Amino acid sequence: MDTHIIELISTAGHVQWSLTIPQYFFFTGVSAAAFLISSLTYVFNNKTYEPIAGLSLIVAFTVLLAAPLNLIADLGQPGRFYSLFYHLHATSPMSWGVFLLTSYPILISLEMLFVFRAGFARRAAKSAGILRSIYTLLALGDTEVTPVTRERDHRIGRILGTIGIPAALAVHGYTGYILGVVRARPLWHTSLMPVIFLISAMVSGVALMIWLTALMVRDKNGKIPWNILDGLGILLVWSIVGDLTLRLLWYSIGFAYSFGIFQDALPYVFKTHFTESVVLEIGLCLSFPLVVALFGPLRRIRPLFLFSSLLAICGVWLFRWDTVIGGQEWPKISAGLAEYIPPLWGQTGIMEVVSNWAIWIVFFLGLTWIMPWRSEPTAESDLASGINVESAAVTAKGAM
Amino acid sequence: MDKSRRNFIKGLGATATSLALINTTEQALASSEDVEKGAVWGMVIDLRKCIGCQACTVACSTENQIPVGKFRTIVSTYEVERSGVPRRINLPRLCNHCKKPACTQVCPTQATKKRADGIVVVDNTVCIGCGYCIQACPYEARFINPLTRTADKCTFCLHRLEAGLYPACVETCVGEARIFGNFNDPQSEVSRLVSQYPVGVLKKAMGTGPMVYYIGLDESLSSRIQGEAVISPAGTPSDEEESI
Repeated sequence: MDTHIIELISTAGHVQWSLTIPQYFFFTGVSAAAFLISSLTYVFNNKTYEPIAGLSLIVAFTVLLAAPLNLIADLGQPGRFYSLFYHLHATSPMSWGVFLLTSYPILISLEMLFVFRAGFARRAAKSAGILRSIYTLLALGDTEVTPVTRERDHRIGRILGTIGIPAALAVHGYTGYILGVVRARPLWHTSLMPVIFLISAMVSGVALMIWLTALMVRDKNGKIPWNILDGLGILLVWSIVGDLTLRLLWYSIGFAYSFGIFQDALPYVFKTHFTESVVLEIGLCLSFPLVVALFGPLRRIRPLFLFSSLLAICGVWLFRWDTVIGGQEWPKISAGLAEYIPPLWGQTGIMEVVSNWAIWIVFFLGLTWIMPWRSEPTAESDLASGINVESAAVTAKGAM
Repeated sequence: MDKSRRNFIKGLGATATSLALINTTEQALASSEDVEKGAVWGMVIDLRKCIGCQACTVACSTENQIPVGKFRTIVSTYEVERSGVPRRINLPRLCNHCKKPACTQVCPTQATKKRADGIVVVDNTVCIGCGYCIQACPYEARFINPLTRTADKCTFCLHRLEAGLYPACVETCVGEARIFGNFNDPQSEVSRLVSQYPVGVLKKAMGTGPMVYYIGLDESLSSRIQGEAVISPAGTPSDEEESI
């Protein structure tokens, strides 16, 4: 029987989580990805990415300082955010997030102290006055740089990095979990959501590191280290392939075999939001960078490679937007669609996101200035430059 | 208007008021006793009796001082056309005070809780306004109150229950379509109605176990409405600032 319904009066479905939430999800994702890139060196001892390992760690730390500000901005009662620390709820993923967002930056900062300790010790040796005291403090009071201390720092850094890998996965995985548990929203409710978030986070994190490496890292000849960028390009390929595969699984099972509510909601993604979610997100921002990063000749057209990496960053942001905002535009009871156009100003406006990026840039530039993240000199160069030569020699003897 | 006519209207008004008072008295609850017996509150809405007058919507908003544009309860109204025959259907909506509420499960601060008597409440001194419960509720029964900036929803007029009165919507319902009572009491009217009539709940597939039952629920309206929307009294999000 053909039924036609006209809704005359009903409650309107509103978009409750604003623009700041995709921004929060994006930044935590970048943090997790950047941490994993740093772990390639600090945990898995991969020498290829060593010149950007410290930088990645700083990115992981700084975006995670800026990210929670978005959450606070989105609260109805921002002044009560601290109550999350003592009003706990074991069944709420948001409650778990409080501990992840607190412990993870502490863990990264501890790791930074150990992996950068030798650098701080060197700076302390070369500085005077209050700066020397600060660097000595950052070097944990131990200004010696010897093979033994290097080994100790490396070992502790490795332990912290190893603990940090599941923490990084959890700190972003939980954001996908936040959405995945909401069964009232068909476009969120999938067990794949935490994994999709993690893999797409790898896309954004790797692409951002491609840009930061091109901007900030130089090899011995003062040139952009294209070998590292090529390596990151391959990582980008794998991440995009993973992302597209998971999307395929999600959409195909959901559309063809899932409950009616999902089957109803999915065409909305591909029809109403065709331009954003298909043309821009999957086409221009995922498939195009995939092709460029996959084929060497295209990848070696460096401006094209950098441009496609920028598109990949935008694409992941757009995915967060399409998921968080798009998922809410599909009403739970009402007919039609909810509309959402973010305001320019205000607590949850476009300028909040712009200022959040600005805050991150300030944190990032500040920490890259303070932290000795550039490639560490070898023990030989330490000896040559006369830093703690005696103690180094003594300790080296002792170690033998 | 002549004097006799005026007196008649006055008399009519007085009679109506007296009847309303008698009705209220009859319906008044012995809440403290019921609570002691382990009452589980719920509602049955007899859609055959609902005329879509929105008196419940107005009574609720007035009783609970709900800001304009936000609703703890509303009568959704639909024109349903089947085989060329149009029919108007009213569907009062409110918090379902579910047996397994999705909203309380995700609240990060436990500001929203299900009481022993089945009523789901929000402590707006603890709520941080994160909106997670609003996302989790399958019934769009929650909103951020622009005045308190915390989550808000129907409480079955808890303050009235504690005073031995029915919820405002129940008391004001012209057709007595809303029946409120204790589901733990097999003699209560709600228990009797649920056992005597085929009843339905909204979005049964969500598995939340609503405690608001409907008599005469049209299956096509029990889930998300697949049709076209004409107007919404709640307005668009951009109207929110003006509605405060």
